[in-house]
Amino acid sequence: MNIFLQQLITGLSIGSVYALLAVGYALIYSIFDFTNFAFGALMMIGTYAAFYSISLVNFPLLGAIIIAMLITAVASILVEILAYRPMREKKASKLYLMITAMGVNIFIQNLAIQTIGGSVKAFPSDWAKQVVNFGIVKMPRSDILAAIISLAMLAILWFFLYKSRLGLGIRASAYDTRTAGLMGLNVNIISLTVFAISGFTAGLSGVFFGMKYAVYPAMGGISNKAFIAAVIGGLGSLPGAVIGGIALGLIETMVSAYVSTTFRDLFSYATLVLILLFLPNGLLGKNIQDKL
Amino acid sequence: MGYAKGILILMSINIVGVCGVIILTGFTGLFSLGHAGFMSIGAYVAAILTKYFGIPFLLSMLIGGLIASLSSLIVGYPTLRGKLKGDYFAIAMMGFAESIRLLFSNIYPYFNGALGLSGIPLKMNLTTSLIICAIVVYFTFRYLNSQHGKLLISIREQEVAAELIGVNVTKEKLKSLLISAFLCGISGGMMAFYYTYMTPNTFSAELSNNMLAAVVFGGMGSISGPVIATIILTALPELLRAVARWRLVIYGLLMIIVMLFRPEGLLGNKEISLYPFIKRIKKEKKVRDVTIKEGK
Amino acid sequence: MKKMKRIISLLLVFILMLSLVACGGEKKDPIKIGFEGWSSGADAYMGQVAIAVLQDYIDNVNANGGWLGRQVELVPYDISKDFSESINATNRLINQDKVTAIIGPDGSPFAIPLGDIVENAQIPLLPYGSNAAVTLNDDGSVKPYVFRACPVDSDSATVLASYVYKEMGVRRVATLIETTNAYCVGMGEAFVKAFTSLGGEIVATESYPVEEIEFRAQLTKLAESKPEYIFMPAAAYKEVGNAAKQLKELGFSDNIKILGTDGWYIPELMGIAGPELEGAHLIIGADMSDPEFADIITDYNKKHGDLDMELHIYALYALNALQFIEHAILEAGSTEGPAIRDALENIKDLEVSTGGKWTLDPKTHNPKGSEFSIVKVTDSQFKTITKYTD
Repeated sequence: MNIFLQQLITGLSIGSVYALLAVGYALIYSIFDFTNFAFGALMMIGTYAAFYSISLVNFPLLGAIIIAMLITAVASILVEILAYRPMREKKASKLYLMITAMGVNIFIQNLAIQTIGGSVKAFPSDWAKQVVNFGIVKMPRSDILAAIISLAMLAILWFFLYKSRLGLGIRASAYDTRTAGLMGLNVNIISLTVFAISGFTAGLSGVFFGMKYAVYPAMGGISNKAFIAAVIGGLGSLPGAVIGGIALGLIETMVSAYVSTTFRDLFSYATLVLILLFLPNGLLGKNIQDKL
Repeated sequence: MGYAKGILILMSINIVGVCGVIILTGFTGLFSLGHAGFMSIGAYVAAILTKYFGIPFLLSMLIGGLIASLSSLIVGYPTLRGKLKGDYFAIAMMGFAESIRLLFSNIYPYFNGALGLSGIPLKMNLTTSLIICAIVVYFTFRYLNSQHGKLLISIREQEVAAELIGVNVTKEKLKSLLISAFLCGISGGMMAFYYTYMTPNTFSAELSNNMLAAVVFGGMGSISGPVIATIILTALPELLRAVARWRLVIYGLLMIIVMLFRPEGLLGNKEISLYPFIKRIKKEKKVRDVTIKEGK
Repeated sequence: MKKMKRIISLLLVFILMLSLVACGGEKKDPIKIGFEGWSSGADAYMGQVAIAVLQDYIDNVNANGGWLGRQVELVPYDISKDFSESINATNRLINQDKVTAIIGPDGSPFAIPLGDIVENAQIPLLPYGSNAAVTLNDDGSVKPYVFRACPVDSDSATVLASYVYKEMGVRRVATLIETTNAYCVGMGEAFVKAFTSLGGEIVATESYPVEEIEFRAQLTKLAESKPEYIFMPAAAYKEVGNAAKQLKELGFSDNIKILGTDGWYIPELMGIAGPELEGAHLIIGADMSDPEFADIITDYNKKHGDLDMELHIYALYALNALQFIEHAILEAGSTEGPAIRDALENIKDLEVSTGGKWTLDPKTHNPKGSEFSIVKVTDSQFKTITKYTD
């Protein structure tokens, strides 16, 4: 029983990282209808922003988290303005957007390797390393902090999307971008907001990843799992992304614990294929067919 | 084996694989990062059949290609039916290639798992690889310039419209996936008989990226463009060793820039052929003949 | 359209010119030594540090008059893309750069396909990959021009097994192995074989795929069977860092320690998970904190501090290879491939940068007499406790 509980906690903790990433990814997907493959690279930027603001400037942990979120948001907006928006304005096909995103990912990741080096570093926070003992299960502080801040972030995001005017505009755009534009919504402001929010989530999940594991340029590879999580939840659905992320984390941990560690990822991908076969819109997704 | 010869063989191997991506991504418009998976299947099947069962290497490459082709249905069927968005296909393909890598790493009889399959007979010489490459390019050219090619372009440009005029979109997409996987499988087989050693990690995501890059730089909807791009890209890292550190950075940047400013690729969807030259020469000759006549 | 084509053709001409410039224009023929390493991508530290160390050594040689009165030149190539690159780079080093010998590549998959190429060209190749197939053909015959510049992995795992069984009295070990990596699988097999034949028990076996970050599921399972040590022959140090941290988080780190190999003997690991690895034992070819390395490390840090990459053992293996070549060229008094090859095969008791005196076994082209050091992590530092040979 203890062991099961411990595995459950492990699953939730990795699942929460997937979930946060998947949300940022699903948000962009729901509005712009394309897979932002640059997400992993943005996340990496966030981690390094936090890393350097602690190790060079001696920022407190919370300050570093905020800096990381801001810098990632700026990077996310820059990518949007420099790469994605000109393409959308030219009505380039979605395929081209996906390729651009791939290019951004390759570019940022390798630029980081060449400029700051490929070596792996520890996140410079001793506070986060401490383990809290709950009697039956043990958790590091970083996990608890991640859970609390992620939940807060999701709550704020929900509040923003459902209770504010701009949020309404974003939801309208998600429903039908072109009509929303025709109705007088400033699509540019909406897109900037969405990329900023997506940057916040990428930066935040990057910091948590760095705290939990380590800081290195290739860490963005985990975003592949976030894409799978988003598909399981239903592409473009935000609650779906959260559920998909946590579900994937649990599936992986439980398969590792009770079936096979060697073939764990095979189960993740098989889940993906099975979901596509029997529940093509994911657990919570809608409008899966290409828009006209 | 000389350096130039090695590069030429590598070019032919890459071109065969890229032809597969041309059909799937360039013409049908399906974004995929999983082609290395098909290459892996083709390579392992071909190498095992020849190494352990003594089957002639050309035949085993063919079988490898066919098995790669069949395996593509595992991902193709769930994601291409019912007009699911292309993103599903892209993500599932990524997972497929990773699954193949994981699976082959853990099979020890015949596959030798992560330790890698060594002692594969060296069969790929310059002539064989050039001939295979020429056949594949010719086939791709014929296929894409036939009715099939036009159907595929119609799907890429306007899927719904294509369906309205009666194109069976799912069937055409699946067909191009099958062919594409077959060609990648063949390319994998060629690789096995050239490298003589491989591990499941040989067929990494980077391999898929490189093939995609060739199609992007060469141009969507073009055959000669990506083929030329493959030739340049295969030779380029060799020539530009000096900036080797920055190669991947440049790669990524170039991908963005090409998509931004010349999404139809450096060569666009025009084909390079000798025809315009011939026409010009004929015209010049005619003009010359006329001037000669009039002058006299 | 036309403009684009013109730009491309101009680019090509420019590139061709560049390569011509790179090829021609030497006054006095230097001895060229090729190097193949991963200098870009995620493992860039592997190649970049090695190049720095090799270049320093060569600069020193040149300042003292070179070899056989000729200057020495390092020709480094990056092969980090995939292993087609090691084939191409080798062809290029042989045919265009006309090198005398080649150091590297690191990593068995990169080195294994090169045996035939260097044999035909009669250019010695000194890779430092661990797999047996690097120097041996399928049928057990030796590849005549390939010489391994590092210990064989199975040797160190075997020695470690006998050390933990005989000297530490350990009887229960679990293994945690990356099944997608040849090095890790080879190490795991050798350790299990040696340890069980001594009478020890492998109580549990778990695995993980490449780039794994989350080990808690595996560690929780392993801890159930109460091992004294977990043998984790990882090829990349960040995996060990994460596993150690998670072992501590789960509260098992007091009773279960980690055993390892030179794959993660990288000083940076101590920055990631030093306290968590307290009490871990590993076996390595050479100890970087040994006073005998103090000079080379200080020297390296002074010259290459800006690289932000610490000196690591693989760079020293590359340096070993260079010392082998130096010795062989001086011994043979020639830069002809066959002469160097024969001299390499006859190397006996050569002092190398990693310490110890190496002899090359003509039957396997593996170095013999390499000492192994047993290292214990103490106070977040790798501390050598003893030198050990089976």
